[in-house]
Amino acid sequence: LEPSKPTAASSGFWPAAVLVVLVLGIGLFQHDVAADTDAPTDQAIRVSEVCLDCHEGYDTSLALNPHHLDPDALDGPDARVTCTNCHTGKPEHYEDDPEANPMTKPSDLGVSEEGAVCSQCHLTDHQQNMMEDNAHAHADVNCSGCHKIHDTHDVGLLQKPQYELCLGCHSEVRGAFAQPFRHPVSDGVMVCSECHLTLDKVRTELSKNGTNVICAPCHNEFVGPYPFEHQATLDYSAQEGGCLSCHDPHGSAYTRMLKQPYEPPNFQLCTQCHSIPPGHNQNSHHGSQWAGIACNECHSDIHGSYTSRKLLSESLEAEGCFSAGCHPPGR
Amino acid sequence: MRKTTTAIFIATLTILAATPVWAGVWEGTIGLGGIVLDEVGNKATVQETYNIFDGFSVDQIKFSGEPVDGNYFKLDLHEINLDSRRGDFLYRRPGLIRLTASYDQYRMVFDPERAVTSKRKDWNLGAQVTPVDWLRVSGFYNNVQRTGQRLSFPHGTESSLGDTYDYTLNIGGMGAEARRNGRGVAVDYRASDLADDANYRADRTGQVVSARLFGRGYFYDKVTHLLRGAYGVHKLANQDLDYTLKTFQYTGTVQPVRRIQFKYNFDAQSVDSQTTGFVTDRFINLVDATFYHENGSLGGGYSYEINDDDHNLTHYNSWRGEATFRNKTFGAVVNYADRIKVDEEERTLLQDIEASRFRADAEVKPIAGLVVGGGFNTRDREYPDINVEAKGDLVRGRAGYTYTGWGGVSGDYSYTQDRYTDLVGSFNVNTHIVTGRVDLDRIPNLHLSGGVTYVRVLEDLDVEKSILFFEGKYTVRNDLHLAAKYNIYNYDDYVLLDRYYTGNVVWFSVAYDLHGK
Repeated sequence: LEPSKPTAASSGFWPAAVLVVLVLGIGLFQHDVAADTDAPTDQAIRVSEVCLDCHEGYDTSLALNPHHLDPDALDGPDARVTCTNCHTGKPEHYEDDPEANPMTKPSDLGVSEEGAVCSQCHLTDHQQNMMEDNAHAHADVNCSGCHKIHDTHDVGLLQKPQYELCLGCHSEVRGAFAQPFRHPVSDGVMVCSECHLTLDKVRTELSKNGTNVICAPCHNEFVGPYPFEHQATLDYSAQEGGCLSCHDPHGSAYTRMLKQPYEPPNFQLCTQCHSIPPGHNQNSHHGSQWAGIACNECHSDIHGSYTSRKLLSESLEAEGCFSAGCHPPGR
Repeated sequence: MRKTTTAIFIATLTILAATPVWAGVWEGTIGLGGIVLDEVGNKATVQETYNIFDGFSVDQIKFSGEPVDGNYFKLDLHEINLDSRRGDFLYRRPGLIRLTASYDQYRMVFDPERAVTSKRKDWNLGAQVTPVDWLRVSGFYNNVQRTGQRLSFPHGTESSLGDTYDYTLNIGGMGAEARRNGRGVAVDYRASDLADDANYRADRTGQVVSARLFGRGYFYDKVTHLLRGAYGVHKLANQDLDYTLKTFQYTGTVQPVRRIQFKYNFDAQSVDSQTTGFVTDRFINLVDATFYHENGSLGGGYSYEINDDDHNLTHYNSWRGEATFRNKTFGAVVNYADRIKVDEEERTLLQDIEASRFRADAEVKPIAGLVVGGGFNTRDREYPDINVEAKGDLVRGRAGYTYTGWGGVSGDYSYTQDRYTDLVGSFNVNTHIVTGRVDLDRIPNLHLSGGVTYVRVLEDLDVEKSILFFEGKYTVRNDLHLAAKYNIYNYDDYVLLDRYYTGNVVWFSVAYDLHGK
């Protein structure tokens, strides 16, 4: 491979990025655009005590969960959460005619409107990820599509246990978890967010693809660096790659959750990228389909190798074909 | 194993002994039972049976409540049997602190006789403290231990992974976030360490530091900004080889009126790998617009991406569009996306790539309790320069009906057609998957349920798998419950004839509820 000249983008990017951060950072904290007049304001009315006069028992439904109403500070400056932080409306609701002046129910709002309500307090990676490229936001799934506020104590305040919640919409994945080889999600050993919401955690220094970072906490033994890498495993590579090049993470009919079979009579997996190199296919005992020998019987360190640039098994690399077991010397 | 079991019981007894002195309210359940397992065939074929052990089991030990005024705790230990168990713990003082812990232990099976297995133990600890409204401090620790044997794949091959597992992976981190008036800053640090006693060369370490700076919240203001960046080093410990990864992201949104949002995202990353010798820079510019209406949304976007490692220069053009609609009885989602890679110098192995996907889903709720839905997905990934293509279509339908006081019935069917055209040949499979479930609550104190999962894989493979279950729970008294469950597992591979399995499993348990004040 001939090295090409460095691009202007790559040579001076990082100093420029630091400068952008500093400039925008300063501007960010000086910027003070007035809030949209339709947006929920900081709630001039903090009237939890008034609300509970009619909506009896709703404080109990929040007891001991993160949105609990502190009985010693239902309203007032010490109240961390009040009813009107989430349910907005006009004072006429409780002063005059409640039905003619309804309060909002956040779960009935669209993703934009409910996002505005929740983001008054919640601005972690999870919420901010919604600003970037989030499939749920694109599909207009609002916060209450997954979370509930009343009558729950569990971590994450989810509507249902994760498996049922996620597969309620993603029903095609329910089928994938019935496949012969799969991640043990339907067994309760794993939950969906162990892989999917990892993208919330920018602390994992994601590459844009990010799949290898997601797989690494459980399958660290396969993740690099290796002295000799297989570029198909590197999700940051210009060659394209990552664990999903070969594996189907939800479930597969093939062992090791491979995307294509790697057993007789079909050794298909490698041939999605590689043709049979010259020299292999002129030897009737090697090759792919007709020889019955899988590529990784020789190229066995397929995730990466400590000794071989060709990812050959260590004995093959060290001793050569005629001493490594397949071909006794002299034959 | 015995130590862990003993520790669980000692912890449980300690909690039971301590309960009388708690000032608050608590409740709990203790369930004991057994499992009868009868199986024949290849015991590696049905993953669902890997952690079922014949004999006595502790079904559940669960406590939750308010030991001290304003505090909540929950301890849930379940599925404790010969060699697998799970547990979760939560303590929360709302607005101040949250502590979590979980433990999972299970095994993986590699051979038909279940003689070659590996065991995995996974501890997770987490803490989050909010000492004042504007500051949140958090930390976590994850310990994974894996021991036992594995079979190489294909069987009999030699690789550096060996045939033994004996490693410990520790991952920990901490972070802090300060926020005031919707603006804030956050920093995080994370470290990992893999120590492999079976293969010292695999020892790895990783360290990442990241920061986040944001101004006003999502949808909260007319203009919002988010800056994120991270720097990490991953190292092969014994060979002094590493790669570093730097990322920087900026997202800005403009929302001139509440229903319209424009978004710009800039994403840059650089990976410097000592092993490949490449510095790979990737830059992405993305623009996006969404219109939100009362019953849904309409949106689309475009991104341009450059990927440059000084040897290969590629760029990508991606388009995306979607529409959603929902009201009280009907919901629908349609989306389309494509991504076209152009290999400028035609040096990469795969060269140009054209990928696209389309998805349409609809759901109707015509009467109370009834939900009927269905959808269609198609995805296509083509490598025109090397004549390789992967194409998949999926059709699915689902229906569910719940009648209060009686129970419910639900079913789901999907059909997938996968077509692979490789450099050497082609590979095609069609898969039918049916799941169904019936729940009956009509008889007082008795809950009955049953269901099926059926998988049929055809064409170049010929596999049939099914799981049938029947379950009953009877409440003898308000605090005493009996439960029994019968599962039938079946697996047949009609090409690889040694892969067949039939398993009959019966679970039974007695659960007693406890209350305290």
